[in-house]
Amino acid sequence: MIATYSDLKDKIILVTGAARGIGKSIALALSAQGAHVVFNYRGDESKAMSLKEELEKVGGKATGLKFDVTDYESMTKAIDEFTKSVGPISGLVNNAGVSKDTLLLRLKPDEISSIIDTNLKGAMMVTQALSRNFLKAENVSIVHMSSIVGLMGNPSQAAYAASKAGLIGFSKSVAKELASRNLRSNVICPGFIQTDMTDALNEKAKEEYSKSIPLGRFGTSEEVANLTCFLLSRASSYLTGEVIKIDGGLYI
Amino acid sequence: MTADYTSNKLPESHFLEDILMELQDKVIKLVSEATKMDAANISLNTSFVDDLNLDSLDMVELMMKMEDEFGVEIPEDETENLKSIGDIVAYLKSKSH
Repeated sequence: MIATYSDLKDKIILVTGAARGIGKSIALALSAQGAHVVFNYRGDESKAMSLKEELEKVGGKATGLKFDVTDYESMTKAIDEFTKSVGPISGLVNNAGVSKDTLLLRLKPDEISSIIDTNLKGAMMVTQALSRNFLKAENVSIVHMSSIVGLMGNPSQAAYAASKAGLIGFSKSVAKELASRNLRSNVICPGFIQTDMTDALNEKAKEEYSKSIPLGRFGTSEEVANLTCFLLSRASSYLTGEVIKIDGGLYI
Repeated sequence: MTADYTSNKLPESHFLEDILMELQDKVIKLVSEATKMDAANISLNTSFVDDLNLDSLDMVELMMKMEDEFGVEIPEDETENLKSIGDIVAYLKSKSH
């Protein structure tokens, strides 16, 4: 079930990491609301084109920008070109993320860097690159995709959890700094969500995990997308600096 | 009106003064709109922080308005040196040559 937020129609919203998983569901849900979805892609032009087509088939406009969230230069260039020719971006979903599960004992410095650079520094750089543009936009809402492990920690995910926890401090600071401009910044902490990442788990492990979730099942990426749409819309106009868990009660 | 660029210094300096006055008026008008302060109370000596109570974010926004209006780029580190209306007018004048 997808709620409709009429103010999302034609709102220009950048979603990073929209190629698959939760990010893709968010992009599709926003397209269904008639939003102009802007997504970034790294290499594959043909994949970007087919994502654009897929989104536009659902509704609204879609634009692919070629940049990596770890590359500040190409990011600012692509964003500046877009905002100059189309208009200010008034929604941002910092969703791009990577994970690599390793025991702390085996965690290598370059693995730490890769996770922090994409999940935390990447989100910070995209937000920074858009900050000037945000001052010209109206009703700006930023959503950072954190994780329940950023709140509760998880074995073998020390770096991932740290990067996700970092987003919370970042979001709260942005919320305070730009609140006077009616800009809002919030964090979503998904629990176990059905994606390629969790599909890779074996059945027994999934069953075990489900037992620890009060609602007794994994969430869907559409459920996370619904919450994201709500936070991007003016329906949540008095909500900022907040951290919302969407985890079926896993971390109560 | 055709300007005589060949010899006479006087018309040229008048011409420059006009441009400067126009620039000054435009800046004051912009600042007045942005701060809701009566333009009559804004002069070259008006300080952004002391007289208009602007914070750093207000300053960034004001500079962005200046950039849009005058088609120049004001680098972030320049902004720190621009403390009064007069500073901005002088800066814009230096960029217009």
